[in-house]
Amino acid sequence: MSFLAPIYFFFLLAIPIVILLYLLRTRRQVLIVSSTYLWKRYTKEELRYSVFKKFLKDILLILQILAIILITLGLVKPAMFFSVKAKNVVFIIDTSCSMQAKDIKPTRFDLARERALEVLDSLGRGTSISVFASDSKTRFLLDYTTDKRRAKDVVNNLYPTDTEGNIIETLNYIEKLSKKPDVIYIFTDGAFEEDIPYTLPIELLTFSKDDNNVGITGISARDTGIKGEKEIFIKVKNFSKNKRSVPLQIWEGEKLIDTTTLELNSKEERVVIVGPKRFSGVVKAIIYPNDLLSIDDKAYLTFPRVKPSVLLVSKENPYLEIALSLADIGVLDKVESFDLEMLSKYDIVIFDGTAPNEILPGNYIFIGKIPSNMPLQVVEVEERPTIIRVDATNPIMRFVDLKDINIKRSAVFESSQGENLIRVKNGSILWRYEGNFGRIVAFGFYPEESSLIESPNFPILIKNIVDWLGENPSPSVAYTSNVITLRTREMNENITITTPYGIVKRTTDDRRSVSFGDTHKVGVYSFKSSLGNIDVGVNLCSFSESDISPKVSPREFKGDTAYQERTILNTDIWRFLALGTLGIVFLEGYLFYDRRKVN
Amino acid sequence: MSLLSPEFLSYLERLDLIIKRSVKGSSVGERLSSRYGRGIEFQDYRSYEIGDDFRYIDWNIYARLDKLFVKLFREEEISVINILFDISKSMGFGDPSKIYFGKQLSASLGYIGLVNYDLVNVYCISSTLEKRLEALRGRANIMRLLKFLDILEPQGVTFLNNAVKESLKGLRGKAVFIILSDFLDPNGYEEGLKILSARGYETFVFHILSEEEISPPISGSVKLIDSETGEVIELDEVDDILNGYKQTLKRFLEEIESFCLDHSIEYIRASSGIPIDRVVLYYMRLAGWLK
Repeated sequence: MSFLAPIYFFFLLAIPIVILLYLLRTRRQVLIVSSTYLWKRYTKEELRYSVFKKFLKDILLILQILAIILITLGLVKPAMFFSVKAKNVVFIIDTSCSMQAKDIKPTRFDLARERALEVLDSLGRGTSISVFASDSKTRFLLDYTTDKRRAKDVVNNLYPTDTEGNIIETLNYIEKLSKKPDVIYIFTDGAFEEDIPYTLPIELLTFSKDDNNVGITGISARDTGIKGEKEIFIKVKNFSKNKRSVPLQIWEGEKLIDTTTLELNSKEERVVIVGPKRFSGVVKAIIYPNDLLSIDDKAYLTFPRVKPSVLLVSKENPYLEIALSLADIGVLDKVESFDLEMLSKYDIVIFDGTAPNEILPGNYIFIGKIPSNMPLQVVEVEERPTIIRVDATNPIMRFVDLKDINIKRSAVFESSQGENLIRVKNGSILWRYEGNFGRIVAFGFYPEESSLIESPNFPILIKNIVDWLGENPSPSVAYTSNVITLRTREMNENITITTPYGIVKRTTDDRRSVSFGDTHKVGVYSFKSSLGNIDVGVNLCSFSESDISPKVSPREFKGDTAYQERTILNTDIWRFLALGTLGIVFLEGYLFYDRRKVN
Repeated sequence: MSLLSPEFLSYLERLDLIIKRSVKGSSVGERLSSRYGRGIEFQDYRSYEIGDDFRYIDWNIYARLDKLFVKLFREEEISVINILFDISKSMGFGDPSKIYFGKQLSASLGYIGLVNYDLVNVYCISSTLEKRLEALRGRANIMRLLKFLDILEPQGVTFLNNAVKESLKGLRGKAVFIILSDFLDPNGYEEGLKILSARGYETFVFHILSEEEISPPISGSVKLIDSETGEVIELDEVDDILNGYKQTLKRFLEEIESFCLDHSIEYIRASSGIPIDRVVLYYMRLAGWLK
């Protein structure tokens, strides 16, 4: 037994004071009687026949002393500890999206955190505590420590994410730790498919009640190939046991472009197709199911800007200019000499018959010449090369027919990277690259030195190339916990990322790219860089998280060791002690009144 | 004469102690015995036997029947009445005090004995035989008895058994014992009474109680000091335990009464508050002590 506030033992001094008062109160009248024989005989008989009466005689004093002891006990905060065998305790708190379900008020996560803090409180001194958060990632938040307050701070600062959970992965991680836990507490809603292994000393505490949820389980876009139009596919599933009527709205930016109401039977999944349409900006799908989990009621898709700006660096090439004018281009500027400062103003730069010595990442078309720092070598210059194969499956070569095309001469490329669009005997004469340098298309030949220039295939080829280069290489859709990688034009460039949970700053690395992995909230992530604003929609779209029904049952650890130090009297017992004291005071009052009534 | 009024004494002259057993003393008295012997009251005849006193042969019958018969007379004997009067300190309590009441009783019974020409001895006892007044006989001694009783003061500690044994020393023949006491003796009374009963003495026990013992006028928390031993007993909330005390007293009285009944001892108890004339003239006659 130990006392957390022993200073309050001084309150016990009230006992002698009460006894003193009691003695003063009971000052006896002195009487000389003929004999005390009968009185002594009476007291002996009373003692023999009614011990309880004897006890009752002083019960008021006893009750007063008892009340003082109870009050003192409440003040000194007594605690009793048993010796413990197990010392290493691991807490895993499920921070996946389904923990935000509101079937338990305020949320499953809030109750789980509260319970975790209670269990932490009940652990004895000397217990080593480690804390993990488990969602799509295993977050090792606190290494084994006996500092219970620190562990509580860590648990208190936890919050649920919008990501999928993976308790099993966390358990695998813990299993590989050198310091084996004696018991693992898992605080979860049990909304995951895989069963938790029985080989580990696990105490599973689950927090879930209901499965009432309808969620968007998928969102994607498909290019129709016609005028850049796309179709959006939205999957909505009813995970609840009842039929649900769910309104669905599709927003493009601030404009409502489609609305419908889905009648979904229990466990039914429906695919809604929106379009075909030329979407731009952020497209948002929202359902209004009035269910327990709201995170999966929204999904986002982002589309790149429609019309890229193009800089043509050329002496004179009317064929090319005409072909470019036929392509879907926003701005077309023409210069004869190139300056690096121009790079940030244009989405695509076309070098016709010229090329800088080195290039920065960007979107380029090189005709005839290539920079020296490209991952591409010119192996030879071939006269009248014979086309062996055309990669017709590539979007650039779509609708391009190169039969009967004669090329006077061409440089032949060879590269371990990129794709060969037009192959000749010793290499490629049209090459496409997508990588650290951005997107690049390199022509080994001058179109005007071929019959291609007179063919309608040339403007088609140029349009395809511009369309491909004009697309933003960043993903238009991502899922929570995905890492978004963005390439910019400069190293050490400051990137401002506006996320659903606030603004984050990042700096590009020496490869002129930035990776951002803190995508744990559903919403639109906006990257502001030298390339301009690039929006990425981050969605949950998870069957396992939207299906919030519990699939595993609570489990109590029945190990041989008493891992948990039992606090017999903890600091909260003062309430009960106060209640007990109040009861004693009432009892004392009753007895006192009853006694006076008898007299 | 302050103990008893002349009027009350005149009533006492008509009373006599009813003694059921033979109490033959060492000399002849005026009390008729159930035995045959020397006396003046004719009782019966019987055939002459050798050794019979010729003076008791009825010669008239011999003349008519030619047979010798002797006349039998009822013997007249003297009764020895021993009054054992407890004068321990506990007897000094009550209103009037138990000792005063005991003095009145002793005087009354002694006077009755003297009037009836019995031999009256008064022994004042506490832990032992404190004082004695012996061999009073005849009404001429009444003043001696009253004077003796008048100056008695409570003293000593009650030790009834010891006092009884002391009083029996040197006693010959049969006697009547009248014990006047409050019996508040932690050493008990049984042994002394058993001795009296076993020796065949006719014994009368008069148990004197005071009103304050029957219903103690105390309340609250008290510290009681024993008048004899000085022992102290502390009691809280006496009001709550008075009923219990009364039950104890009742059991105590019943025990004495039952003991006396079992040992053929006459027993009366009375509060010192009851007038002496009512006790003697009514209760004692009702109990068959006096006629």
